[in-house]
Amino acid sequence: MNLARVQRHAAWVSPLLLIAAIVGGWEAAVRVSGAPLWLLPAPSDVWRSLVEDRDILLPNALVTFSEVLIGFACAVVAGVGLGIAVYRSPTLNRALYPIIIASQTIPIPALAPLLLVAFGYGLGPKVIVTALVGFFPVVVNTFEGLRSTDRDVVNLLRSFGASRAKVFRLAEFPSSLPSIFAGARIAVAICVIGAVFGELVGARAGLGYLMIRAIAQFETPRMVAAIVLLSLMSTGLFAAVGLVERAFLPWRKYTTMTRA
Amino acid sequence: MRPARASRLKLEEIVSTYEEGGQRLTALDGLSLTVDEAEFVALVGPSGSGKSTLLDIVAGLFSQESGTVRLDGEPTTAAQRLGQSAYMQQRDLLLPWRTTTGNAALGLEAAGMARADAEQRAATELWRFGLDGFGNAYPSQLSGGMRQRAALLRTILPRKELVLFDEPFGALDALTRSDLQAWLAGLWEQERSSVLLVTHDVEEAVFLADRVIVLTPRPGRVAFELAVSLPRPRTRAMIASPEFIRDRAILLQALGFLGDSPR
Repeated sequence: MNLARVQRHAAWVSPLLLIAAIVGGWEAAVRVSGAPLWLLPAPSDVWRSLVEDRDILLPNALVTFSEVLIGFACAVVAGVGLGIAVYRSPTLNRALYPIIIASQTIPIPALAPLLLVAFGYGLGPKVIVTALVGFFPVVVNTFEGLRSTDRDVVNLLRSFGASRAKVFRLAEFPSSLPSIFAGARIAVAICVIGAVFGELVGARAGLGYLMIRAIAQFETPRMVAAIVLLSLMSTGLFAAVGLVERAFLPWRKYTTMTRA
Repeated sequence: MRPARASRLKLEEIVSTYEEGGQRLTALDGLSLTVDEAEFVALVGPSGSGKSTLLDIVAGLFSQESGTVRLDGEPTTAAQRLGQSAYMQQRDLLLPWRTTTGNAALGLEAAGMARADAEQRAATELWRFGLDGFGNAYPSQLSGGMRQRAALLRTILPRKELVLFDEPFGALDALTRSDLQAWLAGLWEQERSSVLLVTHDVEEAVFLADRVIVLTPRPGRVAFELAVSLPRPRTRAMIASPEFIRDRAILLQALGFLGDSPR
């Protein structure tokens, strides 16, 4: 096996090995120390819970998943929309952008109890928290992406007689897409956190709700199983956004190629 | 002697200033020049003589402070000049997300043509620009010379009667540059548009242009004008001809008086 192949494999082999080492070390530590199940379950206990409790875990995971998806979709639509509005209107920029930035000093999860009071135990407040959390990276990356458009390209199009709308469609929006996707990838990962937070405050379903219940009943393996599902969900969504990005920006894979 | 032709572009007493570090600087100070129908005019001058400012003004991107810009004899405002010329800069400004064909079609699309129609027009011209088989390649897959030819195709395709070049080959290596100069001379024979070329390169100016205008250092004004004595069509062999060498010497001397040493 030559060196190039080793390096190519290393991209996914090394994190996998690291995870295996951590899981193995964890299993060994639990067995050796004899920690009680309710305090620190071993990976094998978590696996057993994943299999045995799947009828409880999966429906709740589905609830969280739909909260994340709806919240993320709202965050992207609102974030891209507002990012464009703030970019295209200097007045809106002056009025709104500082507020958008300042809004980040509000710990959004802390709003969850308020939303609970206002909207009850249903899907609504979780989706709102999720959307609020995901909104910020999308709006900032949309705005910064638009702003990074090459001025000379804009001037080139204007010199050809392009209207402002046409300049936006031909140059500014496509220029901003890599940045928007980068924002969306960050957003989707933290949207999962937002949804769980919404559930922790008060819910009747979802993985966050399940975690609180499991802790109260000393069903620690089930709680860790829920965490495993959450991180799988996060990773999967992150990868999915990356796949959509590849489909939308086929030219990007060429930019890493060296020029002939 | 130049035959009497209609003027495509006529600049009268153009004054342009800009602000830098709280100071008002004059880029152009009463510059006047004409580019006739089907005439190739080159502008050479020391850096900072406002050559690029001049092209920005003609393209309509920028307003002059005073003076008149006439297109086909009519005085125009900057806004009216937008879309009247094809402007090509030193940087190719190809969009990385568009293929060669898509980039070449951009000028037509900007002017309102549907993308599919514009790309179809661009595709039929690829071979003439040495881009055959590269229509679906992204800019990052092209060599420097090919990128510049793609940018040229984008510039020529809308068939504007006035073409503005701002050091179009300035970023290329010497060999590729001389290739493209010869090729552009041939292309011009077919197109016969009015061209205003800004360059640092005296040889490029003599080889391509009918007339070379030398600007003074900032503030820019016309210092000197030379009707190039080379016949048309131009061939590469001409760069060894006595006429070429004489014209080049005259221009270098004119520039030398201005205290600058162009290459």
